[in-house]
Amino acid sequence: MTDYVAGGRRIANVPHTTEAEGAAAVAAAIARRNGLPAAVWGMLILIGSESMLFGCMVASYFYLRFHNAQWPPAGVPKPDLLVPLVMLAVLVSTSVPMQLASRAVRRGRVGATRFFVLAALFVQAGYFAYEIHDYTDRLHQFDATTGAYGSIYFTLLGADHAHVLLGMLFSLWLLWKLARGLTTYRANATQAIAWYWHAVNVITIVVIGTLLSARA
Amino acid sequence: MNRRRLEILQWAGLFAGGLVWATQHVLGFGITQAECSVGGQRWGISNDTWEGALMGAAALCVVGAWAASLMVLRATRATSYEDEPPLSRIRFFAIAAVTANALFLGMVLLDGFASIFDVTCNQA
Repeated sequence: MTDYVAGGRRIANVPHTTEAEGAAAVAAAIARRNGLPAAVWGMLILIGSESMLFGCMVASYFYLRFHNAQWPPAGVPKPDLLVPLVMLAVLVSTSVPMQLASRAVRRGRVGATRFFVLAALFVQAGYFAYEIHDYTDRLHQFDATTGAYGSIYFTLLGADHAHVLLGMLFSLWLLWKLARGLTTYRANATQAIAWYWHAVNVITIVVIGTLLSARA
Repeated sequence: MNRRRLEILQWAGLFAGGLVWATQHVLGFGITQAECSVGGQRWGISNDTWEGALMGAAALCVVGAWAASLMVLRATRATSYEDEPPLSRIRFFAIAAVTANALFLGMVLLDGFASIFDVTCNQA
């Protein structure tokens, strides 16, 4: 038997924080907590690895750009400025309801948590629908096989859209879980998913900024 | 095992594998450059010998990191990654480190063997 003691207790006597059920018990369990739950640490590892993935793709973009005298190549239109920036602002604004959901769940307010996640999901779905329409529209003008620009453009933007879609699936799963009441497990998931959306929003700022640099 | 020691072993197990592989990759690149560049030719560096030694040292370090994370995993076997922090984080990162170090060991060996068996100083 190990002799490790956490907070004055034997290792086997440490309570499982995910065991709490019901708003009051969950809020009390979270208030007692003195560190991040494993769900958030796991999400931070995922965010770190996804950031490296996008970092490599952004570096590839600029590597290709600096090895081509004309960027984008002749016959390929430059990216629009206004609409992508407006859509970016729309997506980034969803960090606010997701953070509010994260705060609400820590206080055991499951109704408010569901409302904020649903409100964010509504906006994110609108953003995603428009972006997919725009993506397919662009594919009619040029595609990933027409050259280095098309290749990195659709790869970078497609990867970003895939992350938005994954986030929406996370939120849908969370809403389904929260509909059956609050547990600490679901509260941890809400906090982790809020972190995911903050990261996706920051990544989208970097991706859109990189693609718009072709206008310079 | 006390908490301080567990914490040190957990962080070492989590980060050492990645850092060792990155170091091996950068140093290995430098060794190849030193052998193949005009300025380094008089040094008489043997790429294969140095790359082999580097790979062996790196592999030992990754195995050490792996052992550290296994020790943490064993020391926290009576608990779960769903327990209260910091215990949950220590166990969770130990599980992540055991998985990651297996991948890093593969990367270190592939990096080293590729440097040895690939033709050195060949113009691309």
